[in-house]
Amino acid sequence: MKAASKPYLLAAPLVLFLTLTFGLSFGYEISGLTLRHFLAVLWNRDFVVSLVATLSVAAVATLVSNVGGAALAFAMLKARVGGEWVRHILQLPVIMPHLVVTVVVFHIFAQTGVLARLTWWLGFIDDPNQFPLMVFDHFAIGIMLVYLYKQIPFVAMVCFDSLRGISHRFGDVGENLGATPWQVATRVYLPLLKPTLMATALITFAFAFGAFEVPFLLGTPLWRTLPVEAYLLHINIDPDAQARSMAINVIISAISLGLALVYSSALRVVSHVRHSDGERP
Amino acid sequence: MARITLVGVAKAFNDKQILDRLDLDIENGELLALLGPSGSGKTTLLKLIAGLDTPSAGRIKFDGSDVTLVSTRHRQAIIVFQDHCLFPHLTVKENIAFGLRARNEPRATIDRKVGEILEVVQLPGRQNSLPHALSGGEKQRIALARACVLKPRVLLLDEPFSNLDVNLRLSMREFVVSLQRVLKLTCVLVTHDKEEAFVMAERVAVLLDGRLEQVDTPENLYDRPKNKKVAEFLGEANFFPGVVADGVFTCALGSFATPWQDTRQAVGMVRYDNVQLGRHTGNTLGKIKDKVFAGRYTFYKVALAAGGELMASCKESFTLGDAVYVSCADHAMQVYSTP
Repeated sequence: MKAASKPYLLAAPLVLFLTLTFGLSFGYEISGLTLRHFLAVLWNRDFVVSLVATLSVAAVATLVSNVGGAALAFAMLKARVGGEWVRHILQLPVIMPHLVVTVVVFHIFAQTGVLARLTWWLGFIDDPNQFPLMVFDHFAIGIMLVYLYKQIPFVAMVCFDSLRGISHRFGDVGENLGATPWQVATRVYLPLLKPTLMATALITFAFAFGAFEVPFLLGTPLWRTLPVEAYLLHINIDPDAQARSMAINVIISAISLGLALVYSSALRVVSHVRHSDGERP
Repeated sequence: MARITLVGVAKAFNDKQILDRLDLDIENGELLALLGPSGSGKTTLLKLIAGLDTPSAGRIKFDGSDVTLVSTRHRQAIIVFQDHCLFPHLTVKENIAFGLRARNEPRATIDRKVGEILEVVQLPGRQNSLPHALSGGEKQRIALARACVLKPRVLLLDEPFSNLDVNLRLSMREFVVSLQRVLKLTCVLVTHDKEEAFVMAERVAVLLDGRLEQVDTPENLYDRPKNKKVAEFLGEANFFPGVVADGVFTCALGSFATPWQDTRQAVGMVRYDNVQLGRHTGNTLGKIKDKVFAGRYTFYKVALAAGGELMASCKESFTLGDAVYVSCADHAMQVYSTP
């Protein structure tokens, strides 16, 4: 590929994307620049519900996976474990495809799954249908289980590597000065881990926010996440629906881009102190 | 401050004995140097006293109370590490206040104590600086301030000057000694630098291969090392094999009085600066074989007429090939029995 043509080829999907969302389509009987598909999406109640649901699921998954992952990394540091075998155990969920984990979660936690049948067989419930709804449920428990299964080890691995790069003696020094392990974690290690956690939070949020297959397979019929909503509109034969699908994709991309910008700005603020004249006001 | 007592303290890692049944008393307000080569167990012992590790055997007492199993958090034996270990994300003030905040002291008290200790370490006005903006000496002072502001029972210094350049090291030594005297701290200084130990400490404990070989004043340690191992470690020593008979040790350098009346094989030790070189009188004859000028002294390698060589340091000037008389005072010759 010639270097001169590379930027145009890279920008081509974006151009195509935008032309479709603003009404310039190929092969459809709609034409002309318009914002009506965006407005139609933004004024649609289902879109608002989807947006709130998607943000909520992504936020909860991000919060729990980062808190859980950081806590696991601290525990590993404290217990002085972290050898090759521990890394392999943590890598396993990370490299396992989401689709496989989704199927596993379905087979274990659905009302027809292993746990439901086991509890029924053990006599804890009279019928497998009495097993709590954990898949296709309103609170997205099944979706969350998939995200957490993959994201907690990912965050733990990244945080553990960062913690190992931070002198382990900070912990000794902190406790020697009279701090409790909690104080050492929150006043020493957590602030030092802030840039790493910001990065893992962005990655986990972006993934949960943009994921399609997990909420599509395990989500409740009562509400849909934005990627699922976009997909269902996309396979609709109505050309307007396809344009709205593209509009939703643009909105998802815009939110993701906005988050990336917020992240880079926040990182600049965090690192600014270290690279300034060394004085804090 | 506290009196530290170690009773049979031992430490092993994976069946390897690092410290072997140490007994040691450190007086209230004393500055004791723990001197030994790398890997001798100095830092391990410091960590045991600080409570950052537990001994495999033995007891550690502060003022007679057993603190062996007291956590480092409650022991009040604060350690200052070689690389300072200042928290990089905290300002000087926050670093110093760290221990006070952990104790939940009121903000006004913390501000006052931080201000006072910054005056003591002569760094007022640096409280808003971050560690990376400080020089090596300033970092060391802040690390000391962070420890001293807690008024510890024991201050433990783990090779605190080894990362500093020579001039800064000298001024920091003086600074720490004066700080220790002003605050009346019981202080243990770990070092592999014998000069540093001699200059700073009231007593020096020599730790070799996990054993305390000698605990003594710098003068005694230098002039009268307890055994050949200590003498060798402290350096600048000549050794002469010989024989003891009827209270006299005889070697290539001459005959010297000893308290032993029996007959035995022995080795004599004399320090370079206790060897006297003269042009006209002396015990034995030799020839200047080599010389190295080292500022205040010149080191000479002398080939003895009776066989063997020795090193001497003196201010007199000789040239290569000069014939010299070599002698040594009775009290300067240390004699050790050989197995």
